[in-house]
Amino acid sequence: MKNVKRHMSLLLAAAMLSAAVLTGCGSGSGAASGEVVIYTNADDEAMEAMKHALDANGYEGKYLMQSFGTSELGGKLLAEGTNIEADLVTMSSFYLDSAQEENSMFKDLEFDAPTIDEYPSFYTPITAQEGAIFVNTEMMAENNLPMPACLKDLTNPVYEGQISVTDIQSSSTAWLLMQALVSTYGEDGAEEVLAGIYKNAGPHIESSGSAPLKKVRAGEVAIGFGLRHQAVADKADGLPIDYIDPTEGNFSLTESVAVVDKGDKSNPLAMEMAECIIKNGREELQQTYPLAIYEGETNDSENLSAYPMVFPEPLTVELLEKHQQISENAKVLAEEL
Amino acid sequence: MLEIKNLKKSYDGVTILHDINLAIDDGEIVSILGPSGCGKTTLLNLVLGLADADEGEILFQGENVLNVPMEQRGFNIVFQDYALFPNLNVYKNITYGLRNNPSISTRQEVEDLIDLLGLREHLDKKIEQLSGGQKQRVALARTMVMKPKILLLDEPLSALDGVIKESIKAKIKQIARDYHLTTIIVTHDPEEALTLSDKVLIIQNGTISQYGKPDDIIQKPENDFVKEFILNQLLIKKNNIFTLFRQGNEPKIAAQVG
Amino acid sequence: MNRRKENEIKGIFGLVVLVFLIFLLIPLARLFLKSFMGDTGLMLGHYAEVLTGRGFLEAFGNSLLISSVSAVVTTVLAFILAYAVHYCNLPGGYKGFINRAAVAPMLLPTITYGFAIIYSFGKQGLITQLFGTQLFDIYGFNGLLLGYVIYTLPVSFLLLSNTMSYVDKKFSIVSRIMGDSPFATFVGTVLRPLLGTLAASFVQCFFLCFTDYGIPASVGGEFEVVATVLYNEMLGSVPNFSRGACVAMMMLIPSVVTIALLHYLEKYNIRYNKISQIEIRKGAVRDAVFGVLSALILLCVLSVFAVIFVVPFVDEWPYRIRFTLEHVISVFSDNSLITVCRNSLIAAFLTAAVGSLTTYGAALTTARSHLPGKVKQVIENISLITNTIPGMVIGIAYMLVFSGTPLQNTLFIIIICNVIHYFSTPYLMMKSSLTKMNASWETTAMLMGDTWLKTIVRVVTPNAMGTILEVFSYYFVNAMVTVSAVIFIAGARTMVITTKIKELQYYTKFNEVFVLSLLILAVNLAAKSLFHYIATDRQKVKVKKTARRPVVSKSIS
Repeated sequence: MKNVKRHMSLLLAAAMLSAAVLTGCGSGSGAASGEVVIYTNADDEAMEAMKHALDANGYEGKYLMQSFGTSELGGKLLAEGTNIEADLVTMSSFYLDSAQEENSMFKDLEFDAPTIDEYPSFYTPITAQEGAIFVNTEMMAENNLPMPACLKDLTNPVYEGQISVTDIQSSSTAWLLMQALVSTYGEDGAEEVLAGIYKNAGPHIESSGSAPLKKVRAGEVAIGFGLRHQAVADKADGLPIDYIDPTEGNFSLTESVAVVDKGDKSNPLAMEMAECIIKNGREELQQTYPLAIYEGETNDSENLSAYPMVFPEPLTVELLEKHQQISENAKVLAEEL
Repeated sequence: MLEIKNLKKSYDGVTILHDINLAIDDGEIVSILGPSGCGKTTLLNLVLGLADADEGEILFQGENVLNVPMEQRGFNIVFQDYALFPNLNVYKNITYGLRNNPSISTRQEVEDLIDLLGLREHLDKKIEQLSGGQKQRVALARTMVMKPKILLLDEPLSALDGVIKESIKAKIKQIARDYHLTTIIVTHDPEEALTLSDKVLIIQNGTISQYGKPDDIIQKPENDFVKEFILNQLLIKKNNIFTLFRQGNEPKIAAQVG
Repeated sequence: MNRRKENEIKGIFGLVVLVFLIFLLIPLARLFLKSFMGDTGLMLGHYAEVLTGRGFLEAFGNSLLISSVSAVVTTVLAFILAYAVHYCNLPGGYKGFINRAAVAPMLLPTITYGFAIIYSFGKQGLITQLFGTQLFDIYGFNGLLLGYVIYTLPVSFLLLSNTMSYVDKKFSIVSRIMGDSPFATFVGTVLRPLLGTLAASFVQCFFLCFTDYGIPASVGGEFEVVATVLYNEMLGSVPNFSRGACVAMMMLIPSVVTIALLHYLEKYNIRYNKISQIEIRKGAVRDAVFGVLSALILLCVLSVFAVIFVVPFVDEWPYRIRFTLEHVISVFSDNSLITVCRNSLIAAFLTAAVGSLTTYGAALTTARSHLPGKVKQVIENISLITNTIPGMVIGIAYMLVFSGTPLQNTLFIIIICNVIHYFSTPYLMMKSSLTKMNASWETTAMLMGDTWLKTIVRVVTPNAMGTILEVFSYYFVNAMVTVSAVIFIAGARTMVITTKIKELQYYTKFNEVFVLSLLILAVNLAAKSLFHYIATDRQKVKVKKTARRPVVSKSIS
């Protein structure tokens, strides 16, 4: 019995100790140290580029960067509003739009960064991410599949069960596909082409934006549609992955930086860091995400896509919902095909 | 002296016990006898204080204890399943109550109880290593250490076999005599009740059927229930045993108990 | 009143209910209020939208179907495993293996199940390559079934095995001697006493499947389930908490039905006063059948995870199969790993401590008090509700309620969330163990001068220590692997290993995901063997002391 007690009391003592540690670091250190907390949905490469820019300009150790999936960060922005832990957020632009509309949670930026296109006053883009088709070269050869050149080619029945795409209901990555289809074929045409693609995709209509590349890598399917730079990285890494810029166009979505308005508690460094990321980070960012965003930048990277395009209308939530409806209709249509 | 007057108890509108009136002298052994479901365990629980009575009085040494909480009445019980604590060994079970009331029994008194109940050689054993009779004796010792004013025993013999049963019976009698302890025993076995106790309380359908000395019950059964169910049972037993021990079939040993 | 007032237990009941009120009911109420909130005040518009949305009802039906089928299959498989352990003459070592292997999937984060299935049974999967052909189509019903069964098998096995150890095996013998056919004996003395637990197992498994999002996201294919709908509404490309809350509300319907069902089944639970330890009857055929069946079940389960041990040590599965430690090194060279590991361990440890206390307190009120049945039912219903709320819903509800409070971004909130999210199974384990203890202990101890609390500390707790350690271990392991709710309430300084996994998954770095999964597995194995050591060490000490003590008793004071 004594021994049990000793064990239990040891356990208990450890628990107390760790409780003390945790309350100590849970409440105190954050505010005291004055670190700027950055929440980001950016990919690894973009995070690295932002960190390099901040570290090289005297902010090393003054910030804490935490990455989230787009959905989770989107949920946090909507639910927590200005109570969010982060002082600085980088996120897909139109989520920032929704969050601002819902919670009025971002400050107007206090620095000048002349963009080529126009953006709201409370955020400015860090990257523009393009969509592309990618293939598993081994699977293509194994199944004797012809190389597709455009999105419409993906409706070819030879690809049945060999295509993976993302569902626009759950991930905005699919919007890149949708924009290309709608701008080329109109809304009705897009619905028809998409139905063909969905039919071929069958069980591979994914909820996560990164899932198609995952399935292509795993050899589950031969062809996928997703973020271009991820496929570029896989190819450079020596994987049997290749990418194809569809002739309908490489449309893009921006991710932007915004500063959370915490009133009196706002950390002044947050605004400075946002500026620093834009002023000093773009060069490295452009190596992975080659599209020019700011005046004075050029589209001359070797990674540049073949058909960079911009959707004629502003990318609003309303537009997204409209495109979601097209996708839902296409699903119904696909079942009848 | 324990007196019970007009005791009544019901659960959810169903009357379990009613019109219970009796008196028990100090140092007496009284068995409560009856078929299962007659209310005898309920009566035990009422005396113990585990259950509340609807009406009536329970007087101990002239004082109504009905509103005294169980743990302050000073009565104690050995449950049918003994309720020994398996995480403690025999000795720690016996002396459990001393941890709360170190002065209630002296060391010598505990040692005497251990010897009286023949537990000396088992003190370090785990509960699971004991036989049924040993468990019963440990439970008795554990309760006796508390020096109860009344000892309640719930079916103390039902789980025990032949000779062990007789030896426990002897121990119970000895304890009641040595400690001049009022002892109330619940049992369903007429033989047990009539051979163990000074008085027997027969209960049927929630009320007293007969209350008296074993002799009186045998000689003057007051109603058909006592005759047919209690005495008849004993008669059959008696005949069976007489048949076994008929002339020329005498056993070669003398009876021994203890 | 002579009866004990049971004030202590009322206090415990009050505390438990208070915790659940603040950390379960209020957050849920807050979220569900949203489901009625429209531009013009309260309305039912969101429900209309959700109900008429494309495929919602179909997805709901699909969920009911797949969850029921999975729960039945899991319960049957777990029954076979538990039967092999408790009713067959199999070598002790093999029984030990079954006991450990059956709960092994619990030690890994569910996030890896989907990958594991694809990398095992997919077109290029390890098992597909071993067999030379894909065994079955993994997308849709089959894949979901496989994933769900693996996911729920440990819980079902724990529950069944726990109860089986309390069923009196003597009744089987009695039944056979009475001339029952083997089948009648089996039904009467094995199935019937287990009916309550079988139902509990079915319910637990059903809701685990019904609310899980990770497995359908990986292998759901065209078989849409309601958890996916919930995810799309809550966190899709256009997040809408109001509609998400509607879906979550609809997902509560099965739990209401279940509460009624369990209430009805309550009477089938049998309490045995005494458990006879008896020799298991000889039965070579039975032993062989259950031995082999168990082996097959466990082989299938474990083979799915084999790939996790291969992929991280290979350059690039399945294209460059060459041993490398590159992925391992890359994971361990990450500076933040130490922080997240520390956070994970603290969170898991405190979850286990707080969780054990909470379940113990709750189980004491239902199993060892005379509180009215209706009061006890409150705890039972809480337990069921915790089981039916998807982690994602808890996470989002917590954000809505606790943002801006000092609790935000603390480990405390993560710990509480885990305690509540995983309450159900450990509560059932604890209750079943406490119910089976001698009902007269408290009265006896009280007559010997104990207060109720003293009896609990001196008698009940030592005898429940085995189960308490099991519950401790259950909470620890689950706190190590959980992600669905934690991802929303972890702050930048309170990130844990599983949220790190989620990040890596987001970056499509699956090799690193597997490395971290293995790390979690290692921690869980270490923790489990530590708890096991404590549990057995305790027994040894007891025996030693028994042997050492002098015969003459020591002085009493």
